[in-house]
Amino acid sequence: MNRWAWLQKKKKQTKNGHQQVKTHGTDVFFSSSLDSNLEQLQNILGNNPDIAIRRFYINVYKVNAAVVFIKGLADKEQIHEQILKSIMLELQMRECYVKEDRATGSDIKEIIKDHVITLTDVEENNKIEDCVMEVLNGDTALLIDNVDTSLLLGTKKWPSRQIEEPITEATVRGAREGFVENILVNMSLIRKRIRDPHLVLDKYTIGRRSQTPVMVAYIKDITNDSIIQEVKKRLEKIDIDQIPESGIIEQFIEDDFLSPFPQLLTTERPDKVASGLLEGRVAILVDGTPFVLLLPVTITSMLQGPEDYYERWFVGTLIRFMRFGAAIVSLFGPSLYVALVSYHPGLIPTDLVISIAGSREGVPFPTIVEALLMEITIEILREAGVRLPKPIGQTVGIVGGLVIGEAAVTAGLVSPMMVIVVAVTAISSFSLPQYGAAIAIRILRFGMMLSAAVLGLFGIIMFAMAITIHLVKLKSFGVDYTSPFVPYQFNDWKDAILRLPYSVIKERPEMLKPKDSTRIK
Amino acid sequence: MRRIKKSIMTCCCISILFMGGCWDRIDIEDMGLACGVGVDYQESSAKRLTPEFTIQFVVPKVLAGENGGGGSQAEPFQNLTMDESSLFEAGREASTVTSRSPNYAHLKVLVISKEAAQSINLLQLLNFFFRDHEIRRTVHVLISEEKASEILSIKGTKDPVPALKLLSITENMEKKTAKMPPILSLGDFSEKMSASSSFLVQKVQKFKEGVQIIGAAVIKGNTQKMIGELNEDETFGINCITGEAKAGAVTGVDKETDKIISYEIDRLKSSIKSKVNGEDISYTVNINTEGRLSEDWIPKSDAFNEKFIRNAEKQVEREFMRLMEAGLAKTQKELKVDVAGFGESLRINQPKVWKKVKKNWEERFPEASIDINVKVKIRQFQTQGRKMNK
Repeated sequence: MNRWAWLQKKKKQTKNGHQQVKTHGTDVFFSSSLDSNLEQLQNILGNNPDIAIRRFYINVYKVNAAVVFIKGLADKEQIHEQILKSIMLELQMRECYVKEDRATGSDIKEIIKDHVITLTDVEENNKIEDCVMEVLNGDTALLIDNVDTSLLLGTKKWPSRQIEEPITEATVRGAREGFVENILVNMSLIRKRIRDPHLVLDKYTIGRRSQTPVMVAYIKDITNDSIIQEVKKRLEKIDIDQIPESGIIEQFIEDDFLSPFPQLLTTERPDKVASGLLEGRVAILVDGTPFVLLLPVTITSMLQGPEDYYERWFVGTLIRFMRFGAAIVSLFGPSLYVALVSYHPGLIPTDLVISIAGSREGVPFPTIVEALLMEITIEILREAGVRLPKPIGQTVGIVGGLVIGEAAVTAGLVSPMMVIVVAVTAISSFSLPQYGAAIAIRILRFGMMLSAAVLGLFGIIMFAMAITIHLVKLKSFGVDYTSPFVPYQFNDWKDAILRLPYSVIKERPEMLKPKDSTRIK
Repeated sequence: MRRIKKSIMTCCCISILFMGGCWDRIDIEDMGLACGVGVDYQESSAKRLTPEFTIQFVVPKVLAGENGGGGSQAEPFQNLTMDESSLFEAGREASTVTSRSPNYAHLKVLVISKEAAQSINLLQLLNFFFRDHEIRRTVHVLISEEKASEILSIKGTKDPVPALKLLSITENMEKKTAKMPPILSLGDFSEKMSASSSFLVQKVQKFKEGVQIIGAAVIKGNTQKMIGELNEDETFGINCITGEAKAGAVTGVDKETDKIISYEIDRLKSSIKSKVNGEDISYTVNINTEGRLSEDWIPKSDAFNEKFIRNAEKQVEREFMRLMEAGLAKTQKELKVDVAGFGESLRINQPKVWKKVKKNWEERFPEASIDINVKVKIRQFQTQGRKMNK
C-alpha cells in the first residue's frame, strides 16, 4: 500500500467520524421580479465596492433591466459596446423587431439573446447560486423584469501579466514563452502547440472558497487511461478552502509525502508541457500560477532539460552525461571528502594527501564540522540571495562566496580544500534543470555527510543503498520511479541517460504505456 | 503491536549507525604520514639481533608551502630512529616521541641496509611489513650500501623528502636506464621469498652530496639473505637476459678507429630456450633489440651508408655480449644463483625435468651451459646522419 492510499484511508476514517454538514440546501431559482432578484444577488454578493449593478430601462418594451458584474474581472468595454449600447440604442433603431407592445418576458429575452447581444458566450441560467459563481468568474449577468432566468454573458477579462521568458527555466535555444498566472492564456499556449482535436482539457474547480479553476490536460488517444483515472480520482478527493499555487495540488496528489524526491514535475515552459503530453503524460494547470504540473515522472526526467532535444543528439547526450555527473558530485562531493580525509587517507594519492594535510593544519574542527559549517553557510547564502531583488542578490553572492570564503580560510576556520569542495558541489547542484530535484539532492547530501562522518565510506554506501531502496519502491501515478532501469525497459534507454538521434527513438516511452506508441513513422 | 515492533526495529537500526561512534576516525592532519622506513642492524650485546627502525614522516605544513609562513628553513621531513626488539614495537614506541603516531598507508620506500640484509633472514626481518594491514604491497624495496637511516636523511633540492626522491629515482628504471634491476615491490619480495627463488634488489648508495641507485643486491632464495652484489654492467647484462632492459644506453667501441658508438635501446625482447640432454641442461638466450644510434665519435661517419650502420650494430652487439657474459659470470659461476629466470624457463618447457631438479636447482644451475645470441637493429639515427667535416 503506498503512502497516498494510506493517507486517503485515514482521511476517510476521520470523515466518517465527523458527520460533515453540507451548507448547500435546496437550489434557489430566480423569480420574475427584477427587484427581488437583484435583492437576492445583493444579499449573496454583499455590499462590496467591486460589485457593479447597473439598472437601465429598455424603452421599446418598457421594461426594467440590470447587468451585474465584477469590476476588474469583467471587460467594461465589452459590457459597454456589446451589451448596453446594443440594448439601449440599437434595439430602438431596429424597429422591425418591435412586434407589439404586448410582448411577453420570454419573447423579450429571446429577442435580446438572439438578435441584440453581439457576444460569443451567452447562456441562460435560472439558479441564483450558479449565476453568482459565474459573475465571480468575470461574466456579466443580465436580468430583465418579468423574466425568471438570467442571461450570462461571457465578458471574462482577467487581469494578466504579459507572456515573458520563464525565469526559472531559461534556455539558450528554445521558445521564450512562459506560462503566466492566467489559466486561459496558459490553455491557449498549450493548444497553440498541439492543434489536435484529441487534446482534452478537463475542467475542475477546486477550493471551496477560492473556486480555483484547474485543468487536466491530456491527449485522448495517447495517454493511458489508468493514469488519467488516477489523476482524476486524486483531484476529486481534494477538499480545501483555497489553492494558491499548483504546489498545494502537488502535495495533495503525490504518492509519498515522506519522500525527498519530487513525484511531479513542475515547469513554466509550454513547450515542455506540450512534448510531455505527446509522450503520454498528463498536465495539470492551475489558475493563479505559471507553474504547471506534469506527471507521471521518473528519475530520468529529473535530469533532462528541453535543450537536450533541441540541440543535435550528441550535444544533448554529452550535456546529459555532464548533468548526471553533476548530480553525483552534488550528492556525494562533501561526504566523499569527509570520508576520505577522516577515515581513508590511504585512498588519496600521496601528493594530494600531503597538500590536504598541509592545508588542514591548524584548522580547529574535525572535517565534518568544517563541512557542515561551509555547507550550511552556502545554503543560507543561497536562501538570502533568492529573496533579495536581483542586483542585491548578486552582491550577496559575491560577498558570501568571496569574502566569507576567503576570510574563513585566512582566519583558519576552514581549509582552502574544503572551500573548493563546497564550491564545486554548489555549482554542480545549480546545473540541475529541475529545482525540485536539486532540492532533493541538497537534502540528501546532508544525510550523506552525516553518515560519512559516522562510518566513513561504509556509511556512504549504506546511505546510498537506503536511497536506492527507497527509489525502487517509489511510484509516480503507477509508474515506477526508477524506470526504465529497474523495471527493465531497454527501449526507453535510448532516451534516458543517452539521447540518441530521433531516427532511433521512434516510439513513445514504453514506461508510460501509451495507447499509441508510434512517434515517428 | 506490529507498529510498535516496527518502530523498535527502526530505532535499533538507526542506533547501530551511531553506536559505531566514528571508531576509526582520525583526521588527516593528526596522523604522521610515514613515507619511508629504514631498517638497520644494530650490534647488540644481547643474543638476539636488534633491528634499528627509522621512520620518515612528511611534514605537510612545510611541504604544502604557503600555509607554513615564516619558517622557510624548516625541514619538510622528520626522521625518527627507534631501536626495540621488534620493528612493530619500535613503530609503536614512536608514539612516545611524536605527537602524530605513524600511519603507513602512504609508505613508499623501504630501505634495508646491506649489513642487515646480509646478517638477518629477510623473511623474518620483513614479517611486520608483510603482516601490517596499512602497508601496501606496492612499497618499493631498496638495499643500501650505507646505513639506511643515513640514506634516508640525505635530502635533495628538487624533491625535498628523501623517501619520495628515492621513489622517483627507482621509477626511472622503466624509462631511462637499465643499470638498476626492475622495481621490486614488497609484494614481489614476499612472493619470491615464499618461492625460495633468488632475485635482485635495487641498490642505493651515497653519491657525492646525494644518493644514487645503481647496481643490484643479490638475495639468495635458500638462505633468504643477501649474498653479494652486482655492479652496473652486470646488472645491465642480467636485465637484458630477463628482457627487462626496456631503455638504456649501450656504448660500443669501433674496432678500426677506436672511437665510441652509443646505442639507445628502444625495444628489447629476450627468449630463453632450454634444452635437456640426459643430465645436461643447456640454454640458448636470444636477444633481439631495436633502437637508435644516439652518439658516435667516428670521424666521417655516415648513417646513410648501410655499411656503417651494419658495422655499428656489430660493435654494439659485442658490447651487449660483454655485459651479459659479465652478468652471467658473476651470478652463475661466482654467486651460484639463478636470478635471470632460467629455472622458470625450464619449468615451462620441461616440467618433468624441472620436478626432478627443483630441489637442488641452484646447485645444478652453475653447470648449465648458456649460449647467447644478440641481434641489434639500429632503426634510426635521429636528426643527424652524416658529419659534414670533409
